[in-house]
Amino acid sequence: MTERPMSVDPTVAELIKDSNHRQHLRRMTPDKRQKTRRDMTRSKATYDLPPEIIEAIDAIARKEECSVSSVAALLLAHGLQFLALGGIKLEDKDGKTLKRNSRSVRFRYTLEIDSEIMEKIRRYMATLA
Amino acid sequence: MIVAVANQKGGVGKTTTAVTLAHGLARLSKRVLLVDLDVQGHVAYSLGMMKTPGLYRLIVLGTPVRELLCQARPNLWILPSDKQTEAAKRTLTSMNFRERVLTNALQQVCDDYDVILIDCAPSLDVLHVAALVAADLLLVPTRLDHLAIDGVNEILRSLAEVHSAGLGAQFFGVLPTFYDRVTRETTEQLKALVNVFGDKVLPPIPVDTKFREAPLYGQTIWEYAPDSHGVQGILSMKETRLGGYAALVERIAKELTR
Repeated sequence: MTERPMSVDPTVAELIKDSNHRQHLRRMTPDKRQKTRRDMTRSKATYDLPPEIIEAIDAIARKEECSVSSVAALLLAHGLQFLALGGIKLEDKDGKTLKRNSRSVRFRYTLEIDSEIMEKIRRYMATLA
Repeated sequence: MIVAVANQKGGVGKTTTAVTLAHGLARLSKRVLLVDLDVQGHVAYSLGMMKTPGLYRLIVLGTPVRELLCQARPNLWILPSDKQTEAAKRTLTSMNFRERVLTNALQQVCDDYDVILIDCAPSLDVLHVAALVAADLLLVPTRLDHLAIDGVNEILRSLAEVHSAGLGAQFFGVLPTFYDRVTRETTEQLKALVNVFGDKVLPPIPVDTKFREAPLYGQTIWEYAPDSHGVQGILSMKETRLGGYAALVERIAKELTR
């Protein structure tokens, strides 16, 4: 016979979860605890990117002596601003589009990076080397 | 609405809960009467007032209840108690329909208040049963230790007996008090309580020394330390406030509007 699930006040449930987590942290070594706390404050995301873009971000981070995350964040922020200002057109008036049909069942389209842009990135990389 | 705050175990935070809820609701503009059934008379003391034999005069001398009420704060009145309440209990044992004594007395003033809170004594005596009969809701504060949780079971057995006579309060919930998240035992006992009482376990009141200090100055926690953990709850790792009397007052205020 299976037990009927007990309903719990949401605040009490959150408190128990919070206490369990604190106890779990207390059992860790100080270094591990500090790292776990630091990780909790971070927001992370994983994206699939073309190898040239990853290499470019690494090279800029090395040159500017900063983290790759901060370079990626800065470039994405500028890219988003450019998109918001209408500087990037996913579809223009002539019907020319960056959208390609996706082979994935999850998405209808993928966005293709213009070959001219990729060529400019390669040229810029050559200047960094 | 009449709410009884009861647990036969002593030192679980009944008077602190009753006084804090009473003043909290009064601050929300609810008209509140707080009835002290304990011979220690700590309700008056916690509010910076003198202990007087209000309950004794009501039961033994038959004084009309309105003449015995003292205003403690804006919107908050108390029916005080002192050691003479013990004599009142002895008188009650020889009376017929003694378990209805509070129901009858409070009926006289019921319409004057939005809520009447009854602070029960830590015992299972005749006044305790009278409180369970008079109340609409029963709130059971408990410390998070094994013996105190046994006290919760005892009061619920008493309530079941009262229910079997077709009388009595609805069980509003168990209120864990002195919640100390640093000790593993406290969390384990909270889980044990949840396993038995499910969603009847209310968000706990964190342990806070401010509760001990406030009566020294004749102040409630709302006056002495309104920003304390005991009132506002403890901060979770997600930076949200959990537990505390402020949330409980809001919950009871919502219950009053139903």
